[in-house]
Amino acid sequence: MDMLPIIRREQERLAIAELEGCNALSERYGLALTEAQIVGLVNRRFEALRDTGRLELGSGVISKLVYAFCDSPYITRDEYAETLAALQDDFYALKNESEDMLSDDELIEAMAGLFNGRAQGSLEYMEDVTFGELCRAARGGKNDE
Amino acid sequence: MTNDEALITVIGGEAGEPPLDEADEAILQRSLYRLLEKRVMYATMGDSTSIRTETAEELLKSIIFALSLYLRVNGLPRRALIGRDIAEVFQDAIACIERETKRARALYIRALDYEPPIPNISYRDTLRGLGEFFRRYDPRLMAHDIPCDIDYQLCLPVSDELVGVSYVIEYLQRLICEQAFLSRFAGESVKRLLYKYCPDPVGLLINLCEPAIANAIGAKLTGLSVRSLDVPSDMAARLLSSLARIDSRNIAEKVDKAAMDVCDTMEISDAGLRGYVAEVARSLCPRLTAAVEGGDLSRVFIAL
Repeated sequence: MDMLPIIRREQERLAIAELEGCNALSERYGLALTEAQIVGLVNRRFEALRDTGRLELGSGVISKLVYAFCDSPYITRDEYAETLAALQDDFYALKNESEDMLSDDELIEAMAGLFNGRAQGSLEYMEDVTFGELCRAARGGKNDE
Repeated sequence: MTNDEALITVIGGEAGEPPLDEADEAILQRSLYRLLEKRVMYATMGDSTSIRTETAEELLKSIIFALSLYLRVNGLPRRALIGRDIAEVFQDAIACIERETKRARALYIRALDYEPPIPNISYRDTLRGLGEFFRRYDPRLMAHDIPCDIDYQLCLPVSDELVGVSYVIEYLQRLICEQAFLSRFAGESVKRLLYKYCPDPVGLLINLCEPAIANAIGAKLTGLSVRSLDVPSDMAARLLSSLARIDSRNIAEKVDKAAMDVCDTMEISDAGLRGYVAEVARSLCPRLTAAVEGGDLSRVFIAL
């Protein structure tokens, strides 16, 4: 399903405003997104949705990802934007993998648990996470180890 | 649907209605998007902001069906969707579907009253399946869906363009027409005809009414009793030689007149049923013309 240009523009505006707002929180952890990085993340979201065959309404989950991951000891200032982009890709892929059985919040919590636990910040590890691991992480909360 | 720009064109309004201008189209698109957003929230119970594209398409089809039905039932143009809160319009559309569902249920109960002359399996299973429709139909999320199996073939199939409860209403109305026609004849005559028509009229996917309409017309054309539903071979041969002398247009005229005569003989006065019989008769003509050309009417009119 293509996104009507008029609606896509509105979604972009919403997502950009939300991400700009997220900087206030992430700056406490020394992390911030530039304007160009925000636009890049928003565009990457549409690509991820297209690649995973999903449609998202509203501003998306990127701000939830920021809130869940900005305090991670494994994310550095230099890799912040790219890490968020990769986690956003993983999120939509895992939504499919989990056949929508996990809510957005449960999935993000499980991802954060794995990322900060067994994966030790490895994006390669996160990319290959299975549904079983996710479920175990969701049951175990943040302390996956 | 691969492009939601098609939204506007697929929402049915009044025929010949002028297209919306660009500004109104933009308003309508935004409204539909908001509606879809709410449906997604409803479908996921607020747990997820994203859904699979296929699911979104189904939700969109449901919205489009609901709004189209609302416009059609109320004789409103598409413009009526602009200027009012779309969520309010959608609630009215759902109420409209619920009224239609009640109408469908009343038709279903009427259809259940009829006992067919033979226990045809697809007929029985379809009526059972239609009962499932009323248990499983969800106008709020899948209004365009028909959540049951409808295997029994009607004389005149319902168009695939109809969906949801609209399809079910049309199907039941046609089925009731066929039942009403069959009920004018002695069950034993219909039963004999069906066993001559098909080796296994119980197990095979056949229509129970079409042979009866055809044979009633055949009997009328040969000057025999319509009620007997019998077209003996010798009479069919005479009919063949008379039909072979006229062209297909004249054959169609004769069949059309015979169909109305059958209705008169069987005291069918209901305009809907007469129209249905006439339509079935018209659909019989190409087969009859081909049979006349082939010199054999035995597959169109059955000898009992």
